[in-house]
Amino acid sequence: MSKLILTVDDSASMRMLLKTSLTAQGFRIESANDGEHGLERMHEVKPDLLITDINMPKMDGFELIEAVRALNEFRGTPILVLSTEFSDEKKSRARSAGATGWITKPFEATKLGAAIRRVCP
Amino acid sequence: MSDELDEIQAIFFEECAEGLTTAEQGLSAMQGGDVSAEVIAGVFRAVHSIKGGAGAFGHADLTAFAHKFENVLDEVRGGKIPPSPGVVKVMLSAFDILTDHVESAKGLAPRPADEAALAALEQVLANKGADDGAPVASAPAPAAPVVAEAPAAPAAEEADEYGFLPMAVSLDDFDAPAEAPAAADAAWIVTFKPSRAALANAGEPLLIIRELETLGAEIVAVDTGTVPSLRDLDPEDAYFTWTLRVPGEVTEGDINDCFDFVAPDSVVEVRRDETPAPAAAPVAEAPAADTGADEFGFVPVSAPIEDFAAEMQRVVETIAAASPPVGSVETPAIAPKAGGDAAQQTIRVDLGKLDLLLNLVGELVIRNSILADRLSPADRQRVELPELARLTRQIQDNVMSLRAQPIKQAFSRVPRMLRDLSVETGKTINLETYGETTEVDKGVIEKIGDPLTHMIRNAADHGLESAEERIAAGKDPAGTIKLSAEQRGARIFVRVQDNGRGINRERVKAKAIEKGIISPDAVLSNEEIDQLICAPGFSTAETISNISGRGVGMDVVRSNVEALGGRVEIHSVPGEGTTFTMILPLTLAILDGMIVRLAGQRFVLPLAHVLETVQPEAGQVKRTSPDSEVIDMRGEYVPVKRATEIFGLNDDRAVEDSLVVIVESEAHGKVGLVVDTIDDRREVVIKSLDQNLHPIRGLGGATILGDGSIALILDIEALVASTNRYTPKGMAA
Amino acid sequence: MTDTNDNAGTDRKIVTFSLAQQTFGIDMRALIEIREWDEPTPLPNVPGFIKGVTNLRGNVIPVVGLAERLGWEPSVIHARSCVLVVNIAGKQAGFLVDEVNDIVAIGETEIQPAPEVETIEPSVIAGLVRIATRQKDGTRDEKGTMVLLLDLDALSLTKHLDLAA
Repeated sequence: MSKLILTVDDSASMRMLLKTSLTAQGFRIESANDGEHGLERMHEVKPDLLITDINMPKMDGFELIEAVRALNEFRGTPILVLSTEFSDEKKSRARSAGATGWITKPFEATKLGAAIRRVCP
Repeated sequence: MSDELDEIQAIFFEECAEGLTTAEQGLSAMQGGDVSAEVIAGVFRAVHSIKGGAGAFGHADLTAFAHKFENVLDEVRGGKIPPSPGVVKVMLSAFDILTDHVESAKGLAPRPADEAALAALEQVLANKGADDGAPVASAPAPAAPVVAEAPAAPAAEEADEYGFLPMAVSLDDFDAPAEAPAAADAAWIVTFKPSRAALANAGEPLLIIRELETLGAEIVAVDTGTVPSLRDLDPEDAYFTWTLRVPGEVTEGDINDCFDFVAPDSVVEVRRDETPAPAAAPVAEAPAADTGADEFGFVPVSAPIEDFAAEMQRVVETIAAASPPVGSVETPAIAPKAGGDAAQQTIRVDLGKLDLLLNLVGELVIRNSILADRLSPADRQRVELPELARLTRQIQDNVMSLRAQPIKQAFSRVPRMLRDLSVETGKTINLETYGETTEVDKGVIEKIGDPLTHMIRNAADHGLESAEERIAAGKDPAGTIKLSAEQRGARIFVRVQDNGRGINRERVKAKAIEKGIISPDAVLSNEEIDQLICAPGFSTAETISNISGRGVGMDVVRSNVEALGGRVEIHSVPGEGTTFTMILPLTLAILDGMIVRLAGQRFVLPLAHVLETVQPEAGQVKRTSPDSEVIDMRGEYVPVKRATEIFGLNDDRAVEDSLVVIVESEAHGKVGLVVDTIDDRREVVIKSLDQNLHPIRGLGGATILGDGSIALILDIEALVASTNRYTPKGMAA
Repeated sequence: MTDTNDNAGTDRKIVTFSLAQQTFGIDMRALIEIREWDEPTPLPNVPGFIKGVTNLRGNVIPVVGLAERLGWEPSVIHARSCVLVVNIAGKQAGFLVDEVNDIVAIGETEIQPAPEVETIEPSVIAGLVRIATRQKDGTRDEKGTMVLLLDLDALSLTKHLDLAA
C-alpha cells in the first residue's frame, strides 16, 4: 500500500504541485488549506506522513505540529515542514514543536520523494 | 504533464493577484497609520506565498525580489524595523516592483528595473529603518534599461520528466554537516547517537540505520551505556549510540544524506577508519537477549536490528525483568478548535460552467412563468406552484450570488495607477475609496476595469490642477480623487470624483465646434456640453499627454458602459471639480419586466422603474410645446415621452387609447411613457445585443419569449434622456 | 463533370446564391445554416439594411438585407427567399438572399481579383470566379456563370455599425 500523505498549504497551486509531483512518485495525497483544516483532516485521513507549510492563516505550521504531536495517535507520525523560510530560529522552533524534518521551498520533486522515503519508508 | 503544470501555474498567478491585493491593502493601511501586527503579518504572508510559488515555478527574478522584500517585512513583523512612514514608502515602491515582477513572470512585461527598489530595501535592512527621514529612493529611479540577465533557473529543456525545473538549493535540514569530497578507500566509521527526543519527533533512528545498511553499512557496536536506571528511563527517549562501518567507496555526501533529518543535538560523526580493520567479523551468535544484564559496555551486534522499539524493550527487560510496565507519558490532548468558525473552504469553478448554470436557471424561471400563465386560475392557486416559484427564485438568487464579487477587485489597481500618475504629472494626489465591498456580478467587474482606468487617468490628468494652480486658487496643493461604489436598487453607482478645476465649458464647446461635432449655432445646456466629452473623437487636452492621450477617449468609456446596459453621467462645478458616475446594472442576466406593445411590437419594460400605470382620460395629457407633453397626475405634471417617436415607429394611436406607464428614472425623476397595451408581466433572461451586433441606444438588450419570438428590452434611462429636439452627432444613430 | 472544376489548385467549397440577378458566393466554412425567411423583430436606431433580430437556438442574431447592404435594390420576399446564417469573426449574423443555388468546389487558383467594380465598397468582393452552372435538366452549362465571392470580414456588422451608431 502506497504511503498516504497529508499536505497542508494555504496556496492552492502549491497543494496541486505537491499532489501532482508526489502522486507521480506513487504516493497518495490528501490536502488541507490551513492549520485548522489540517488538524481536522489528520483525524479523517490518518496519514502516514504530514507535510506542512509554516506561514498559514488561522493556525500556522508550528501550532499545527504541536497540536498533532499532542495527540497520542500521531506521536509517531513523521512531520516534514515545507517552507520558504530557512532561518535556524524557525527550524529550531519547528523541531521543538515536534517536526521530523525541514525542507526548504522550492522543492525538487524527486528529492522531496527521497526525503519522504527517508522518514517514511 | 506540462499542461497540468501550466494549469497549476495559472492558479499560482491568480493567487499572486490575490496576494498582491492583500499586500497592497495592508500596505495602504500601514500608510494610513494602522501598523497592527495582524496587518503586517497579512502583508508578510502574501509576499511570502508569492515567493514560495515563484520558486516552485522557477521564476528566479520574482523569487529573488520577493525574498528581499520578505526579509524587510519579516524584520518589521519581528519589531526589529519600525514601520515608520519612510519604511512603508519603501515597501510601497517595492510592492509596485513586485507587481511588475509578477507581470514579467507571466510573460506580459519585460523584467522590471528593480535595482533602485532593491537598494532601498537593502538600505532599510542595513539601517534597521533608523534613518527614516533620509532620502530613500521612493520611486524607482529610471535606471538604464537592464538587460535581463540570465536567471539562475536553468533552461526549460532541462526540466525533468515531471516538468519541474531543477532548483539550485532544494533540500535543507536542521543541522546537516557540510558535504566533503570523498577521500581514499578506507572504510568509514560512522558514530550515531540520536537525540534523546528523536522518537518524539517521529525521527525513528532505526530508519537511518536501515538506510545506512542499504549503503552496505554494518553495525560494529551499539553502546547502551547511556541507558539509565529504570527509575529514570523514559521509554520514549532514545539512549543508544551506534557505531557502523560503511564501505570506503560510499561518498561522505551519501552518508550525510541519511542524517538529513536528525535533530541538532544528535551526534553524528563520520570518519575514515585509520586502522585498516579486519573485515568486521560477524560474530556468529550474540542474540540480543543475551546482552548481559550486568554489563552495559559495548555490546557486539551481528544481525540487523529488527525493530528499535523491540530492541529497546529487550534492553528494558534485561534491566529489570520483574518490574511492572512503565506508565506512558501523560500527553495533554489539544482538542481541535470548535467547528463553529470552520475554515472557509472554496473551490474554483470554470466561469463558463457558472454562465451555463445561470442561463439554465434563467430558462427555468421563464418556463416557470409560462407554466403559471397556462394554468387555470384555480390551478394557479395550488400550493405547489407558488412553492415551485419560490424555489426557483431561491436557486436564481443563489446562482447570482455565485457570480457576485466585491468591486474592490476592480478598484485594486487604482492606488498603483495613481502613484504612477503622481510621478508622471508631478501632482500630489490623495485617493479616498468608499464602498469597496459592494458586490457586483463578475462580468460587470471584468468590464468596468478599462472605463475605470480611463476615468481615473482623466481625473488625474485633466481634472486636477497643478499644485501651483491649486495654491493660486486657494486650494490644498494636493488634489483628491474619491472613488466610490454603492448599490441602489438594481443598479450600481461607481463614481470618480475629483476636486479639481471642473469642466471648462467654453473650451469644450469651442473644441466641439472646431471638430465638427456640433454646429456653431447649437444652443446647449451645461449638461449637454459636459456630455460632449464623451463624444467620439473628442479630446480637450491641448497637448496629447502621455496619460490620457493613449488612443482611448471618454467616448470609449461611454460605449463600454452602455454595452453593459449602463450609462455615464457627468456632473461638474467650475472650480470645484468633476464627478463621473458609471451607472451599471447589478447583474447582466435576469430582469423582472412588463411586456408592453409599441406600435404593435412587443418590448420589455424593466419593472424596477415602474411606479404606476394609467389609462389617460381625455385632456389628461396636454401639449406644452410642439414636441413636449405632460400628463396631469393628481395635480402633478409629469413629462410624457413617446417611445414610438423616439424609435421612429409609426404610431397614430390616440393617447386616450394608449396607456401611460409612469416610470422613475435616476436622472430625470418621474416620466410617463406611452405604450399601446400591457400584455404581461414576467421575468426575462437578458440576451445582450452586442454579442452578435452592437449595443443600440435606448435598448438594454433583447429576450426570447415563451413562443420563441424576440422582445427588445427598453433602457428607460436612455429613453427618458433622449430628446427629439437635439441629438449631438455621434451620440445616437 | 461533377460538382468540381477539374483544373483546381486547393479546393474550397462555396455556397452560391442569387441576389439582384447576380450570383454571389461565400465560403462554406463560414456558413452555419440556411433558414427559411421569417420576419425578424425590427430594431430601432439601426441602418436600414439591418432587418432586425431573430432567435437562433437561444441566440439573438441580427438579420441583414444583403442586397441593401451591397447597395442594390432591397430584395422582394418570395417563397424561395432564405437566410444564410454565417459566422464572422465569432459573431453570428443572418443574410437575406433571394435564392440559394448550389454548393460548388473551386480552386484557389481560379479566383481572379475583383476589378474596381461599381459597388459602394469594392472591398466586400473578395474575388471573381467562373463556375459551370447546373441547368434545370441537371446538365451543366459549359459557358458558366461569374460568381462574386464575398469577403465576409468586410461585411462584419460590428465594424460597420461602429461607424453608423
